[in-house]
Amino acid sequence: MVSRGLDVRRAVVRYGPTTAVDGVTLHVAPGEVVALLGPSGCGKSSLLRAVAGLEPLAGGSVAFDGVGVDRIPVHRRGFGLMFQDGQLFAHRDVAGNVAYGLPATGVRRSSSRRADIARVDELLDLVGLAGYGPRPVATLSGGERQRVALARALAPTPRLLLLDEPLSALDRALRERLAVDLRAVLVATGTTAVLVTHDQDEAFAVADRVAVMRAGRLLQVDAPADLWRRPRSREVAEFLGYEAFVAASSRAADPLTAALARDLRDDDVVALAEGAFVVRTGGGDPDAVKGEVRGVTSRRGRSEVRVDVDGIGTVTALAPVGARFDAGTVLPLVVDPDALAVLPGSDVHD
Amino acid sequence: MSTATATRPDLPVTGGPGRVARPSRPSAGQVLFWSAAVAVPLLFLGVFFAWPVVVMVGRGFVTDGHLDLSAFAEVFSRPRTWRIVGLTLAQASIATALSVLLGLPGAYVLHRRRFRGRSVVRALVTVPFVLPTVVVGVAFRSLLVDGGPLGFLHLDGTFAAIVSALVFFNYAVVVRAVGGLWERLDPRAAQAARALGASPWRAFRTVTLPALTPAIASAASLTFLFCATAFGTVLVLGGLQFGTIETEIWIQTTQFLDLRAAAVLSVVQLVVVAGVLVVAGRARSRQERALALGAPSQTVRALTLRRPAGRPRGDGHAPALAAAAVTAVVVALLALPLVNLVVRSLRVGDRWGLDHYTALGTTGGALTVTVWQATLNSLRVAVDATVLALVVGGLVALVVSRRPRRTAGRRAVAGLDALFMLPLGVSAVTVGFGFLLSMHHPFGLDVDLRTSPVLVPIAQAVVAVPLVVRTVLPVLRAIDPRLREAAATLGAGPGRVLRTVDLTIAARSVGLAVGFAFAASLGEFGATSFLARPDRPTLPVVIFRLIGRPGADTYGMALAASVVLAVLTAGIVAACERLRAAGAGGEW
Repeated sequence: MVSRGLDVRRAVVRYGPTTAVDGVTLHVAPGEVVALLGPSGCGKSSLLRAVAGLEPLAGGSVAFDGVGVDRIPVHRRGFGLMFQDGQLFAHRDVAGNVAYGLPATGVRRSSSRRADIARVDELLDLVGLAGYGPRPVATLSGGERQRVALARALAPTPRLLLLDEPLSALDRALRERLAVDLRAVLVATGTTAVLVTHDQDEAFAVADRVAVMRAGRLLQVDAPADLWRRPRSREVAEFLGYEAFVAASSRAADPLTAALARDLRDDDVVALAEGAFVVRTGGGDPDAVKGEVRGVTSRRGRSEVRVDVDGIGTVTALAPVGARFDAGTVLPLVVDPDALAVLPGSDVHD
Repeated sequence: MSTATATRPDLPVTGGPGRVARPSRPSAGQVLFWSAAVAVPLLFLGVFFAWPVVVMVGRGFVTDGHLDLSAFAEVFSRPRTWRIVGLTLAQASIATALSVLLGLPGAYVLHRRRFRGRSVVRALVTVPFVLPTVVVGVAFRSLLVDGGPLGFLHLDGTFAAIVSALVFFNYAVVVRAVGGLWERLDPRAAQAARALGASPWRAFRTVTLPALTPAIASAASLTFLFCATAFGTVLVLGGLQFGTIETEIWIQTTQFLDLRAAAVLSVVQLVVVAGVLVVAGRARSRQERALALGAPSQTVRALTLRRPAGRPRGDGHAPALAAAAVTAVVVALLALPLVNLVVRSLRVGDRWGLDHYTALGTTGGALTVTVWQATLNSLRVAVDATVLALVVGGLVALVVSRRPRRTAGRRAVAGLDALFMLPLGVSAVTVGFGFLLSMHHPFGLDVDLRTSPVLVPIAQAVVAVPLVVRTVLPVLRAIDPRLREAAATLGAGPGRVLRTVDLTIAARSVGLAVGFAFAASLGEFGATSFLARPDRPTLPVVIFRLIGRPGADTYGMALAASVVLAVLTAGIVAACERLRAAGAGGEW
């Protein structure tokens, strides 16, 4: 059976002596959005550029719908590409940018031109920029530029859309709003897409599956919720923001295993994300976990307390809005099982 | 602020206790400094450029104290005038078009691709640009004359010979200006086009080329300017049949003694030059509101003959190879006249020998001094001219790099910028002859500066000032204003900001400015041919005299002297270029 969608097999990308992508295998089904998530320099952009055909593969292969594309130059692959800073053509207006990849650009036939104009309007409408066609791109805000870049990349209906950090250049509030819009547009157009990002929230908001990449290799590929709940290794867990790791056999793990309400093997490891502990405000339970306050910060109004917990180390516990504690105070803590993950023991040390 | 800095022992305290970091009103010292910075160059340009040109042009239009414009009608009624104007424009247009057409692949190969020996090729390409015009003329003659390596083409004294010499000169202008922008151009814009389905050629045509247009326009207008005012090369190669407005001014003044015709032609040239400068200025200001630029290290790819493994067909490898082939041919053609010049200078009759070089210690029967003495004269004059040009050009660049808040101030600065570009295009012959006319009892003073040896370096400095300005100015303009603000908030007064920020950063480009000024001075021929006193000729003047004499020996001496001048100029520019830091040096 011919596999539909994108098939990357054991892809290798090298820059001189350095290996940026080290034997990555990845499948993206038609209509699926996959995010490549990893710290900068992990090779995710190189992988994307290799799929696009902008970097030569030193090994492995890239195929789409079962047909190898390795011998096809960039412009004939039918893969769209959207860059971090849009890379709009400054010498064309908004409509001119969106129309660039349409078949009739440069053709004199008026019927295809009319079709182009209609397509441009349709796409500008889709990205929420109806009526922006004649505007020079220099007058656009950062968010508007990325919307135009998205419309431009979608205009030729690419069979695969590659997005290279499409929202990273924007400020946070805009990034969060555009991530939702981006997901909506990709789903509405049924576009198969690969998104590269270092921002976990962006990956989780846009993608159906997230591939965590590090040092040129894929560590784990899963749906966002599965990835969060069952990170396969400590490396993945650390990248996702799990900040403390406790052996299930240790005494300090007892309140955690109790909260999880399931049996753990002795060589399992419990990973704690921020907020695995919550500062207890009600009455006193003498057996509750205790934490000594190191410092207090605030995120979106809610207080976050850095606490030292015996046998676990320094972790971030959540406290009510406006809570203030002096350093050295000992607080009672309760466990939130949603911020815990269990790492299977055999994989921890690989 | 001031108390904070005063109590910090590690910061040198340059002002009094009441000193404020950014005074709302400029101090007397500042006013004095900036006034001088504007006045000194203006005075220099006024006395040694505008005044001689006005006197020279005035001779043509003032008869018995009355304005008389009949010369225009008279000169333009001569078919010869129209022929010369047509020739100037044709020659400059064709040479400019060829320079751009050949220079674009060159810019790509030499600035966008990496290969072994690239820095050597880049240096070789730059050599013709700094060569004295007379040397280029001699080199092309010795290549094209009957019996020369390309004598079978019968190109000696033809239009094609002049055009190829002009392209030889200006290829580097296009390669350096366009390549400088190209290597910093973010390649992702073209990649975005490729991902949208554009072929390598279409991506180049619709994305890269428009981005390069300002640099191309700017390089083309400079090339046109250099071609339209070419003097030494055309005089040597063109003979009596071909010429530019510039050589015609020289012929009219020195051969026919027709000052009216020369004056009219000077004005015509001024109009052409001003027009081109306006176009160049527009192109430059467009270049300054620049595009997305990256570091060269990210954009430059290795050039390989074989298609790299993993790169598919139709991915731009063939066009890159074609560009490399064109560039290889051009580089070989650039090297040909230079190699030939050296070879021929070593040829004595039917054997090889250094006889022509030994003859440089003699007067060769045709000169008043030996060639070595003339070389020494040239070097002395060039040192003086370079110092002058550096002071004046440096001050102009400093003033023009400011961005005054008021519109009137900004206009004045832009005007000053354009004003100091004029000597680049105004006939050096006009300046030289104007010197002779105006420096006899200048401004009613009872001195005759015409016999003074200081005129030569001054005239050469006038020609070199625009080169200094154009080299230093982009570096000064590129200084982030916030850097100055940071220095000021750290307690540096205006003087210290200027010294520690502006001058320190600009100093990196000064090496190159010195090189260009020195090269321009060494090779200057148009004005010097009028001003050099018979007992103190410069090297280009001596070479021109030698090739005017019949006889194989004097011709051999001219070749040897040309080699000396070429080696001297190229060596000095190369040494100066080594001094500059990477990225400094503006648009040259």
